[in-house]
Amino acid sequence: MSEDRHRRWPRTVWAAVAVTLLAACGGGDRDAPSADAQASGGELSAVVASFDLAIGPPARFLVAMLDADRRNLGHGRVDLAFTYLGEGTSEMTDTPGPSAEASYLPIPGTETDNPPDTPRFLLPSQGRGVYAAEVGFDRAGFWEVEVHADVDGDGRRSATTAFEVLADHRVPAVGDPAPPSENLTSATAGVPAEAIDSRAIDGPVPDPELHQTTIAAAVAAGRPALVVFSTPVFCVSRFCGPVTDVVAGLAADYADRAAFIHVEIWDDFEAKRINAAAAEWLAAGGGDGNEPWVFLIGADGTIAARWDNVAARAEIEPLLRQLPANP
Amino acid sequence: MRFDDAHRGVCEAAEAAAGDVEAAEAIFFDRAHDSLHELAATLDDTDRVSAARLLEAKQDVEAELDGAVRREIVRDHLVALAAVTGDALDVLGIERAECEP
Repeated sequence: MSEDRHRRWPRTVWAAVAVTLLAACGGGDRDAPSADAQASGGELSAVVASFDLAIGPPARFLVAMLDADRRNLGHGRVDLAFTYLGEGTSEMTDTPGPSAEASYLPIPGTETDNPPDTPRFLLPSQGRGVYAAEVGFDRAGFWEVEVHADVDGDGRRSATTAFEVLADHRVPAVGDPAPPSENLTSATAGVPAEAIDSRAIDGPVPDPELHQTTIAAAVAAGRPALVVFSTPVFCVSRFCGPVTDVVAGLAADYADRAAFIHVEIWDDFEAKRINAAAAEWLAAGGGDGNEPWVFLIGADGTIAARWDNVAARAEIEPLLRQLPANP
Repeated sequence: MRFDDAHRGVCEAAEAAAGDVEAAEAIFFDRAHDSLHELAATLDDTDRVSAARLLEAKQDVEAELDGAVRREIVRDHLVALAAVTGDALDVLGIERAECEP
């Protein structure tokens, strides 16, 4: 890395890193894309949208790009260059890491027909999304990603932001056994409807097909399951409703291949009481409760795939198609 | 102030909804939606009930915009959201413009 870049990271960088992480990783109660990271162009910000990054084989890395007017960069591809900064406890390093090309991943429901190939800034009403790439990290600590984009009509733009990579995942990861949770279902007696789905505050539980069985029952039966953890009403990440809708749509088309389950995050939002199943999956391992999450549990009861924050139908559907139909 | 602007955005969306639901939707998402999430997150620490009311009112608007485009109902939900947003600003002691869509 260049000396210029090194000078942009004085010893006090850890304070800035901490601020960025607080805002970007959120603790489950903050808006993810609200943190302004360092922008080499002066106005562009990069925000890591991934939850639970850890050492391991390549996995999905998400980053959003925003300009000063909070327009979202969308479409096309951007280049990512990673640098390992250190553990945060001593002199920082500046060790080059992997690079990757990231593709635009629109929030479900904001896709456009014939999307342009070149990145461009979008108003929220025109589209929202993040960029996704498969990236593997080989050491825990603080990392930086530098994002480069050739923006339509605006030339080459770049921004950097820092994020933390953990030694171990805090949320169940691919290959882990699925916690056999007894999530609430439509048949659970004595619970308010909004604890099953927060949208049921003044009406019936929507998407009833997602509330017919438990994760424990699916695992015990050796039946694959697609499970979404989200709170469509009380979501602060902005993506919970669309992601829940994606899973409901898949349930309509692939009910013969898997169980489909929605786990509402809140038992009682105002009392800050989380549903036990959500806590078992998203907090028990030290996770901070960020959501939404989608997990695909295989017939063997282990996690076959998982998607954090943003989950598109096009990412999930190919895996469902591989499952045997079992009416 | 972003939160005050979000409040004004909801009000303008409510005004627009009387004649053009698509315009109202654009105003809502471009001017208010993201900031309302941030406002709810800010309220979360001080007034959980107000945060809940705000997110519920926002969800009502989104649900209506997502499905049917019944002009009167969209407008009613936006008017309700404007009132809840105004209350939220009051809780936080943020000055706000008058809004009577």
